[in-house]
Amino acid sequence: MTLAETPPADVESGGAPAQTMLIDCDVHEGLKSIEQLVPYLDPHSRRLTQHYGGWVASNPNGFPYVVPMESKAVARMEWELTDGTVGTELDAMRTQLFEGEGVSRAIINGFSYFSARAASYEFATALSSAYNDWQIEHWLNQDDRIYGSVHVVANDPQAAVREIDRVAAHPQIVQVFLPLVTDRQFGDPIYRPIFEAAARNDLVVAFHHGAHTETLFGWPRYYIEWHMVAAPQSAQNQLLSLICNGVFDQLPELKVVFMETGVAWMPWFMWRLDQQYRELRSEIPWVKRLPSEHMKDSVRICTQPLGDITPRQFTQLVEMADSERIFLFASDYPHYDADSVDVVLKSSIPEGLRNRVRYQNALETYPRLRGLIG
Amino acid sequence: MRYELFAADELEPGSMRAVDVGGISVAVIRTPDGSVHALKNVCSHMGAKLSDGIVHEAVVADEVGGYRLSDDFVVRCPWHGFEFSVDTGRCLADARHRARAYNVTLERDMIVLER
Repeated sequence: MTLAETPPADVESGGAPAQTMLIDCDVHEGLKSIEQLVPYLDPHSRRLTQHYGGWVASNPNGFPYVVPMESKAVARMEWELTDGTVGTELDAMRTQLFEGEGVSRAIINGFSYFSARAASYEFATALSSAYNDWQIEHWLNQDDRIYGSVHVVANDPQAAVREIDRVAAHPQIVQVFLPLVTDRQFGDPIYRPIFEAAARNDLVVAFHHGAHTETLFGWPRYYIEWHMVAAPQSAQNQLLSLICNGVFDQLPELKVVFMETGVAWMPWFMWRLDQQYRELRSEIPWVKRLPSEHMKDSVRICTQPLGDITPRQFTQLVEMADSERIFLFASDYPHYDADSVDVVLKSSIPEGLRNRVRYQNALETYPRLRGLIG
Repeated sequence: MRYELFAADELEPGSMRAVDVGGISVAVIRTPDGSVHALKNVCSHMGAKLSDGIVHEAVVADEVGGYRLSDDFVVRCPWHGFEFSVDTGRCLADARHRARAYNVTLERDMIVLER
């Protein structure tokens, strides 16, 4: 007799309701830990899960890549703390960044990207406010060499403005942080109150990509592809949006900073967009200046990763873009591809340009750092 | 040097005509409101004949999306759309580009150009 032929027991016993066979077609079993899969993996996949960074064991459906770096924190290995984290302890930052890398002042922006949340804006706003308060208490108030960022949720612009006005009261807050999202354009007028609030409070608006930042084709098959284009593509799109939607015409005093996008696209972007503007000005007549002029006055690019090009090429690049005021030194501490200043800003770069990139441009860019002059 | 070109009523408002003036091609422009202007007939970008383009009011805006037509007229290059003021020859998008503007007057309905 097969299972299908088994008579329901209740039929024979009589009285009670009949019980038939029951097949549940949607049941979830679970892993206590993703590590339970390790014994079943091939050697290469085992290496990816056990030795390389970026594999978030608790969220295997999140960021789709394993970064092939030995640091699980995707950091310089000597900067990893004993608990496996990086950038999480002030004393370590003092030793590693200020002493070890010769940094005098640092602007922190965290690893958290609240504006990248696709929904639940109230909760995201609460998280960003909590983060801002934590940042002030545990970092800014502990070391006056550290300057901070206001984290906001851009898709609730009114709440974002309230948060900017609230947190800007702290004198070491120097910028508003926005993630390089790829599903919205920050030049859209609905986001304008955020830029107005930044300018009103003498804050820069800074952009940084994250695990939410997709490429034009979404998620390429490999991390190397994503890491190559996600940041510069999205930065170029957001910068284009800011320029073409008149942000800098409306707020000429505003400065925006793009991080980790590479640097060599800058001259091409200026040339190409100026050309487009000469041809298509009538479509965006509220833009009153050449895009390259707006960029020279209002847009700043962090240098890391600068190791992609030689010092001579960097010098030529600055000349081509006529833009010695645009580039700001950035290390990207504590990531594995962090730039050490003496390695990337070699003495073969003219001293005047080197000092501009080391600190002068930053002093001119961040209104709240101008007090450091002299 | 003074050149008598042709009668203004030979040129419809909103149109242009290329005229040889002492060996130089000049775009004679009659704007939709009837006034007459003249620019050197070469786009400073890639050399197209401006007279093959169009003349119309410049689009302006003081805020995003606030399009309106201004009282100032431009010639738009037939190739890439560069806009040159009929009054000054200045490119609206980039002052480094311009077309030389010539002084023109009407004398008994005759268009007279001086260069």
